Amino acid sequence: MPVQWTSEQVLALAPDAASAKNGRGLATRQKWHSLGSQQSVIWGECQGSGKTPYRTQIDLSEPAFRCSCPSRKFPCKHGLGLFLLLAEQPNELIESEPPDWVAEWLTSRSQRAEKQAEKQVKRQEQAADPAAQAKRANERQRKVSAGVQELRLWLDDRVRQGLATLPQESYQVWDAIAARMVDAQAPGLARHLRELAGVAHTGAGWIDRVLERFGQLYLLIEGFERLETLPAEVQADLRSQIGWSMSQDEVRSGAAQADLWLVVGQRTEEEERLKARRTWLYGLSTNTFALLLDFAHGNQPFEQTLLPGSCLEAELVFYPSAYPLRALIKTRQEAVLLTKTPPGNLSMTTAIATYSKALAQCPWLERFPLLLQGVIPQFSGECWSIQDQEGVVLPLSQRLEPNQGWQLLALSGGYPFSIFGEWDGSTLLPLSVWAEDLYYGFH
Amino acid sequence: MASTDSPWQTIIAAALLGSERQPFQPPIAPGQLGQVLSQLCGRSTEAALLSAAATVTLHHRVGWLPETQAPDSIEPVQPDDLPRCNPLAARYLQQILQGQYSSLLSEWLEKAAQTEQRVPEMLLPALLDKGRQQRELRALILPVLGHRGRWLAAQNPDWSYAIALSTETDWETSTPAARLLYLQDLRSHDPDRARELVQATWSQETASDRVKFLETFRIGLSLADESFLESALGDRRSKEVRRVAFDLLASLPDSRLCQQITEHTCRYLSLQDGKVPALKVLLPEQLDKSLLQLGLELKPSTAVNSTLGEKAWWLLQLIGATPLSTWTEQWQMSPQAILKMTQSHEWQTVLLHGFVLAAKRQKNAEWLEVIFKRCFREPDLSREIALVGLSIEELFNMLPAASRDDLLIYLLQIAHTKIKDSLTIWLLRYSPQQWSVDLAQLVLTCLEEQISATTNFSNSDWELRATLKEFARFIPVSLIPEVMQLRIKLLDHTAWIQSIDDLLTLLQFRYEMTQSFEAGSRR
Repeated sequence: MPVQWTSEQVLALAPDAASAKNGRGLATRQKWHSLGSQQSVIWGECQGSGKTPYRTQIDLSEPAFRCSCPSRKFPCKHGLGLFLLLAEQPNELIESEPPDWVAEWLTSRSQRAEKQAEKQVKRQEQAADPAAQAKRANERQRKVSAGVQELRLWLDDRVRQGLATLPQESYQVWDAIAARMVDAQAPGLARHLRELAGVAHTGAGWIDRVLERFGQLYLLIEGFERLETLPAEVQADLRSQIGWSMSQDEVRSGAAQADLWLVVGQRTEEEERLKARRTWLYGLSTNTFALLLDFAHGNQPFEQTLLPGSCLEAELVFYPSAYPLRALIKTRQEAVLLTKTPPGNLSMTTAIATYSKALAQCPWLERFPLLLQGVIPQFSGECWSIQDQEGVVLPLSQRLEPNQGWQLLALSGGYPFSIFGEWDGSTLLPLSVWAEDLYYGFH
Repeated sequence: MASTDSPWQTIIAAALLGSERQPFQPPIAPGQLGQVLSQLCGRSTEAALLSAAATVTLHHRVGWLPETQAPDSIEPVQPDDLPRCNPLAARYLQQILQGQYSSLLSEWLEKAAQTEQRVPEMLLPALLDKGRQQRELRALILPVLGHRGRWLAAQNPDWSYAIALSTETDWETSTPAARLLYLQDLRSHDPDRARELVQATWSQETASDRVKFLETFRIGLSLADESFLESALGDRRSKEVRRVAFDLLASLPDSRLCQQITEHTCRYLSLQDGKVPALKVLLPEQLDKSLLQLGLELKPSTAVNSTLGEKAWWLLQLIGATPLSTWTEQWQMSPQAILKMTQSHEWQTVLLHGFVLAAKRQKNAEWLEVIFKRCFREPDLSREIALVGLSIEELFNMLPAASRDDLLIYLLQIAHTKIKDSLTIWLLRYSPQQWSVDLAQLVLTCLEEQISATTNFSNSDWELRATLKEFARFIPVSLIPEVMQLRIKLLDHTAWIQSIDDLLTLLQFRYEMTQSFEAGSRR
């Protein structure tokens, strides 16, 4: 069965809006001298402004792109154009013998994969200087302990003085203590404090929100101070909240979980030229969710190509946690297949109960994956929400753009559909919808 | 204090106040929460407060339950909708809605309507918004919304224009915009019924709605409307209503109004026989009461007309409401011959404007064409008069499509108007639809001549170059090979090549967009 790609999936790969636009412009037969395909590889020669056409090729099994154009964007507009052609006019890509330049690339790709594997082994060997490592670890532990102690005093002090004047105080108050936490090598704590600066200025109800966060910070401090007495997973959660990051190699050494993983949702957010992408996977046989985090600077591509709405057969390793969600791909099969609407939770009450249990195990959950079946979107005149067949209502996030709310309603037409989104404890940010077995992404 | 009722409120109050002013006592709560809170008693007051905040917050978050409401009673969309357009056509629409090639929106909508396909769900909100901003698109949007689109529009008051009134019973209760659409539609196939509806609620409508409803009478206007229009002519409350009613009656050459006015006009305009026939003009000394009652206006209403004297303005109104056949029959002369007599006439402006007004009202294509050609041929008629005074664009627009193209061919070929002439550019761009193949080919030839001859850029060259891309909307896609030929011929004219490339890109986009509808639809 030929894989049916959609334009939307392809355009989701564009590094920026301009690339998407230009890619679309090239997705027409006229722009290409030659086009061909063989199994999971497609290629074409595209006439650019220069004399010689650009040679563009895609290995669909990942998918991986390559193009002879000088663009530093990835995938470049030619790659996107070629991919769009495949999605929209697949008959134009005729099954044929790959030309030399395609064959060469395929060979070099498999060689590179081998080299990378070798490198990894080397890296692991190099890392081994246990004495130095232990020294560094001890030093950090000492610094963080001092930082945590300082933060405890700071919090005590704030509470002693009373919080009534917080909204009138400048951001510097928060910046100063956050900077101290950075010095103490506890960037996680620093992040919590910087977020608090914003929370204090959110108007009515600010005190509830500030105090909730103060409580959370305090819980973190108390937990850290008796870290050794806690179970290993709880320790891992606390350490990651405070700002220890595990190396990928460390994570990979854990037990792998194989499944057919459906990419149920994806969202990329950009801050100061750093793109952070969250990709949610759902294991079809284990009914487990997994979150993949990827980062890329500026126009750099993400290392992994993960198409929302598609499926990948892979082995994942989870970061240790009392409620494991974040994961890494350990091995990945070449096949990318698409399925129909995934099975979701029919009852919101059950879904929220799952969230409550998860929260009881790991109180640091910021975004919880909810896959719901049989919901109808509705608009109250001010905000959007979804309702299940039992009448239970979940509000949708304010970050949903007005048009997206109407898009949800249009997709539903008053009939129930399936939705996937991130639940933050009070609102759901929709990332995907399946209506009549078709996938729609909300980015 | 009421605010200290819940444990959380107690903690908040204490935190706001500060523990140095009042030591914190963990609040009392039932059940396990209470047990945990009571264990905090032994700790420092700050630690107890912060720990209590953490505990209650978590307790609250873990125990949170969603609300239950009575299910919404919205009727779901009815099934068996039109098929969705295929993904390729959808992508073209998306590009257009995002602002790329936005000039092609109407063509996309027409194509979708012709092939009986609908807009996919994800694009409905953006399209409905477009229709809200651009009234002229609405008639094109409605047919491609499908049940789904109309259902969606019914949920958002901003899109009420898109909900067609299905039955007459909705007539009195719907929004003015929806009523207007219904009326326009009804006028096109049952004008009598539409008139009856308007009549039934006439006296209760606001003045601005009366004007809008009356405007719909331009669709399917006939003598059957005469009595109603005559009553509207006597509208005491709105001058604008009287003006529209007059205009409509004056557009019916057989109306009583036209006949009465003709009697007056003949007193002031006559043919002077001589070797060379000439027009004899007398200006009315006063506007008698019967004419005022018919709706003639004492003072000129528009800026252009106000340059005329009062009496000249009265005559202009009279000529404008007199059937043109009066002159051709009475004087046994062709429109060309009559117009020739206005040339260099003392009252040329009044006469010309009067005839133009009459020709527009009576939609007399023969007169319109003659006037139009005259505007381009006569050196005595300034472009300003042609464009502003006679509003030539309106004139042009009233011509049937075929005559429009023929006229442009006439202009370019016979009158030797240059293609870079701003009026020509303007008229070429004004076409409501694609040019005929003949006209398009002629335009390409003219472009080649013009561009090859350009050495230094003048202002009009800039204008032509800037407009070139827009021509893509009007050139039939079957002529793409010719445009490519043109590009090759003009390769050396580097200043133009970018514009020609843009033209070609847009034309190719149009071609592919058209093709995409051939590929069929998807359910």
